[in-house]
Amino acid sequence: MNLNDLIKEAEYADIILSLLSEPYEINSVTKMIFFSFCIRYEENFASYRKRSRDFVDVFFENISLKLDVNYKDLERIMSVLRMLEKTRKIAINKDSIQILEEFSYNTENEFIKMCNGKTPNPILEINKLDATAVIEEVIRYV
Amino acid sequence: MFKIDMIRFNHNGETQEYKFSEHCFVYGKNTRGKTALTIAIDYILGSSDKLTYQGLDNIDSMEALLKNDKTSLWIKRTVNESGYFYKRTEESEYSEISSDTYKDNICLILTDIRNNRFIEIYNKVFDEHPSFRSFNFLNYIEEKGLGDLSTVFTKAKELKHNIRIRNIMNFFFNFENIEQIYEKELLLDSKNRELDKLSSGYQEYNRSKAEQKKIFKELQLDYTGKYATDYKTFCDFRDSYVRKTKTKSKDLVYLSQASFSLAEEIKIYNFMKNQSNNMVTRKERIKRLLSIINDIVNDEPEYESYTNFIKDTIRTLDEENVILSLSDYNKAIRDIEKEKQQLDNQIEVLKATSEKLSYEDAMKKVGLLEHLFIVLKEEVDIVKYSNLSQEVDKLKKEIKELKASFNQKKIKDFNNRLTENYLGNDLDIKHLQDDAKEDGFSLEFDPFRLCLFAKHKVGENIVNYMPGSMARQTHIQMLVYLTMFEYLKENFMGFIYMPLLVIDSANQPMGVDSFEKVYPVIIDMADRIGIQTIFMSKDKIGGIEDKDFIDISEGLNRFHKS
Repeated sequence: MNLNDLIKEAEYADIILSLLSEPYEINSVTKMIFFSFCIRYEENFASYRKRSRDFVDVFFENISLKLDVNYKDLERIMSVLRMLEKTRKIAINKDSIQILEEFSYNTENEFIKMCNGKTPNPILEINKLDATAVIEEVIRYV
Repeated sequence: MFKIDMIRFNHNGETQEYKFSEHCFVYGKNTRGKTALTIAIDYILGSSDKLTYQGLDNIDSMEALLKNDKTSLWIKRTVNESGYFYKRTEESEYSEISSDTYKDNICLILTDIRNNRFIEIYNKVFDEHPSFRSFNFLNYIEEKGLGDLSTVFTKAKELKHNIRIRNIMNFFFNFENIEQIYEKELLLDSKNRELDKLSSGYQEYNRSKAEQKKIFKELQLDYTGKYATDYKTFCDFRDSYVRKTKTKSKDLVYLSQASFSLAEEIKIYNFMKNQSNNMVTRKERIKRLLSIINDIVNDEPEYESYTNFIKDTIRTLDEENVILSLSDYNKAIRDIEKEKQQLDNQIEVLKATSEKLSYEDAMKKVGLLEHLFIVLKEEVDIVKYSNLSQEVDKLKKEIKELKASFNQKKIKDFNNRLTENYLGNDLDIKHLQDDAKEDGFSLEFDPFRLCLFAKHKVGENIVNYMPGSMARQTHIQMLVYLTMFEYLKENFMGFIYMPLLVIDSANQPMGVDSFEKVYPVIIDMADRIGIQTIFMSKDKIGGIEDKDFIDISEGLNRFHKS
């Protein structure tokens, strides 16, 4: 693995740990994969402040372009999940993630930091979708 | 056969002359004036560049004697004043002419049988009147471009010539299509002129007809579209001002409801059509997402368990959706719209019935109709107009298709011939023998990119490659020029290209031994095609006759101040 891949994996580890922790506690592998990917490449913070469009639309709208270029990132995300599973921090059964060891974590990711300070929290709002609905949204925009 | 017989340099009453045979060999070491001679030939043949080459200083004017089998032409250019002159015999005086006339006079002597059709078509395609100078890239292999097969014609290295030369190649190799385009464009011009004449009358006719229909509706008069019937209806109304009521129409409420219901049906069909389109694009998106996930799992099978839920869900979602893509929604929508239009027309008529018409309004409309009937009485040949419009559209489409299509056969034949010319001579030269042994060897000149590459078999495939070694490249380059002349002689007999090839220092990349073997073959081929050749060389080779030999070891230009 080269240095860039290593840095990317570290960034995803940061995002995944943040999403596993409070207040998000995301417990679906599907949601974890797609949320992590979209959060990593989210730069359009202004749209979340304006509230003229639904958070879900803004969150997923560029996924097609992002996947075109960076689809291999999904491997990095799954690699982090695998590491957490092997080190018994989490257990994965089909689509479900169970936290085995409590941990608190302070994120470095700018988007998550922005969401933490917002009410309503965009990530919490998007997390209201179940895994099937998330897949529907991804299909809509991919 | 055309040839440059003699070139003369003049200075202060003194002259220096060089006589040229059909196949001249000009010998001289470096800086003796070989390149200067190339420039001098180009200058006397009408180049627009000023004569500033260092080795050609102190020349006041240059003359040349051009000959073909039937006649001769003396031409002269002064250097400082840039004047152009000609005369028919040695004894007569020079007459001053314009540069265009100068070039035209040279064109006239190039070929015995001139074919003006090529010139007309060239003129139409390029919007310029060609002279032999348009094709002078065929006449020179310059030292600086020797062996460069990425731009075979050395003059094409300059950008100002590159695009023009590519267009000319299109003209030469796609001539049948271009000729057809030319003929169709002539026909299109004539049809367009005919159409323009009919057009204004036709448009006024159409406008008047639409206006007439509208006023008939407003007056609730029966409109049939036939002049005689409608005119009688109008005259009856004008005489009595009585409108007939329609007894058999349905009532307005019923018609409005029916029209509204059809409008709703159209909306539903449009919605279903959009959904159907969405389904198609959704299926493509699903396919794309599955492909990304499968790609990842193929690279790392251990992640399959994380993606199973995603893949199963996608498949379930895909199956649940209704197949809407089978119906022809467009046709259904068109049929309903047509039915709705009929209902709407009836509604319009009924609405008009319920409106009061004042005497003044009626008078105005009658007055208008009278004028319209006069206009409509003028016969407009609608059928002819319609046919002409269709013909014009058809011609435009054909021209567009011809411009887009290209006949590869000519290029293929050219390349076969080129390969034959190259491999056909059983010369004892290493690069030729190597190529003759190559499995599936052939040469391919691309006239649009102006480059050449070779092909050979690698395994089961024929593969392109750029042939190496300057000797081979230069040899092939010379053959491309000559094969081009051969092609023009067969396909463009009587066209105004100059049958001359000036080659500067082609011996250099080859080495004396190889050059001595290649040279006679090149000359034979040129002789067979009817091309005069002027070879410049730093090396003397054997076998050159005295009449063909020009020695410039003492320097080309005796007036030159070193």
